[in-house]
Amino acid sequence: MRCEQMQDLIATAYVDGECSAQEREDVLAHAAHCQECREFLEAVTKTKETLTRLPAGFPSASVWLQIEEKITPSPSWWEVWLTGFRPAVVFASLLLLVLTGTMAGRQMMSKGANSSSSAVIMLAMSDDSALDEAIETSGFDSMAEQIF
Amino acid sequence: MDEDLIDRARSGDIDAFRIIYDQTAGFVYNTARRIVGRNEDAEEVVQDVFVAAHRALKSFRGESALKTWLYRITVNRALNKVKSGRSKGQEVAYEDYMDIAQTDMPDKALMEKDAETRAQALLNTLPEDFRACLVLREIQGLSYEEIADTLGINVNTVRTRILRARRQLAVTVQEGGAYAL
Repeated sequence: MRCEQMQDLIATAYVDGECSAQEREDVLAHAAHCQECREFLEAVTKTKETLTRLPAGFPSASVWLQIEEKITPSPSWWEVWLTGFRPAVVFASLLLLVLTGTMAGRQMMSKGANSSSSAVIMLAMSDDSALDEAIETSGFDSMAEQIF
Repeated sequence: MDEDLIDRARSGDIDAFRIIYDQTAGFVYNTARRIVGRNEDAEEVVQDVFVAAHRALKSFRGESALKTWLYRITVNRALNKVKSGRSKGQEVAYEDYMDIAQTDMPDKALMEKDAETRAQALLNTLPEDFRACLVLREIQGLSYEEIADTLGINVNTVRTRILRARRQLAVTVQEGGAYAL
């Protein structure tokens, strides 16, 4: 085998440990009497050993933090709004509730006052006999309910 | 790493993705580190790779697919960084080498750092495509078929690149270049 072919074999199957026993013997026998191939064999073997022994590392902690920042989904606008203005939203909701309740209460009071005034006026205008008649036909309780 | 972990990460579980990161960032970093030749650049590649992986989680079926994908994207991003001239690996390897003489590191650590810097300097003498193949073979221990699959090239092309890379490195060492180990 010529030196060129021998060096190809050295740089592939031989250093990869995939040579047959016969090929291995051939390489060593050739290298024993060929200085060029012997030096090539030494250089290839040494280089491979050096590269395979290179220390393994791990990225620094800051790398994950930067990745995490990029992959964490950004909140939608309404989530930002709710989070950012949560106290204001709660306060506004309570205020709305109180205002609605107050207005509803006033409206009911005003309605009740109107109907009772009408009843008083009606009573004042009517004579006692009409009142008696009304009480007799519908009962005092239902008359009082109408008024109040 | 199991399918369940990938499923959880796929559904937006950041903790599950962190576990995947912890299990795979080492080989991603080491592959990138040896191709770009510089720690800062390698960490940038790691960051790019995992952000891209998170986006592409839906397309992975099983650990093997994820690992092959990670190797492929790592090599691609690292090569892009080197080819675009954004990595100053060669210059930094030399600066590191010169700095070692001025440090107060303990002897053993100093020798390890020195050996690493020399090996990196030697790797940096190779064309990027050869370097990528050799890194996957010598440092990551991938078979020729796995390298071909990872890089999406013919297995014979892988053999040729590795052969040429080893020949070139042997000649460099014999001539006493790139700090000659």
